[in-house]
Amino acid sequence: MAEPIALEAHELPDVIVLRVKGEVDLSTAPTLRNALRSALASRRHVVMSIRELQYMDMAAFHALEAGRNAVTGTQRVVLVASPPHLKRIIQIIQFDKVLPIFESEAEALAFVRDGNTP
Amino acid sequence: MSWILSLHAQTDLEAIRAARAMIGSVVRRVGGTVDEAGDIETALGEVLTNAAVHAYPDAIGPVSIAMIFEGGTFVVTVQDRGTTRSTPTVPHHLPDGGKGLFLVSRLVDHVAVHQNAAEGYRGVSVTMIRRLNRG
Repeated sequence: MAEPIALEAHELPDVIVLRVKGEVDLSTAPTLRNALRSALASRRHVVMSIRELQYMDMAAFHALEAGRNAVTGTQRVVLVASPPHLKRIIQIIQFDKVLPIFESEAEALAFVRDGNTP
Repeated sequence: MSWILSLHAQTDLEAIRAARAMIGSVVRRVGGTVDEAGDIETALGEVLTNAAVHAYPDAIGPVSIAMIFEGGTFVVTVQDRGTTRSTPTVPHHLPDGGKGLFLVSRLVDHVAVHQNAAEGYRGVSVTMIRRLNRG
């Protein structure tokens, strides 16, 4: 069976940008959670981009929340979200109270590096 | 235009993924927007995931999905035959835990949950209604 999730890690000296594509549901959520945990194990900040994600449900948000609990020290984790139907889910479940949300990777990078208010 | 489409599925996660992708495609086919298709697909995905996790916690079980499309409105009913311990309720406000049904209630216009305690099984049925705002 083809894995319906694809993760691409773009490693910068101080930040790992994780771009997730495909579908995150109960079956693929562990892959997302583990990717976020491994990225955090590098002690760098993490920018998680769901701009090209086709589908996500509560299982995906639980995975992000569980992954984020691996944060240590001054590490920051933020989310880049632009598809309108995903942003609406984020708004409904108030996920912006769990992770800061940005429209673009550039804004997200500026925030994790400088601590600018979103 | 009015029609009915029903599916018999199992709570296998790959079958769930196929069923929700199918409904998303059906919504698009009758003229729904990408966002409307996304909302209905996510709502169905949540309800099917609930069936997989709560109705059949230790196994894979049967679930039926019925779609009625009438006058621009989708009525989608999901029925399991599992043993969910208590009837799920739809929260009015965002709860601390178990946000799935709250999310569903905001993605569709109306959601109702019933549990059938007769004849030894306690299947849960969830009916979701969502009108498409076409044109």
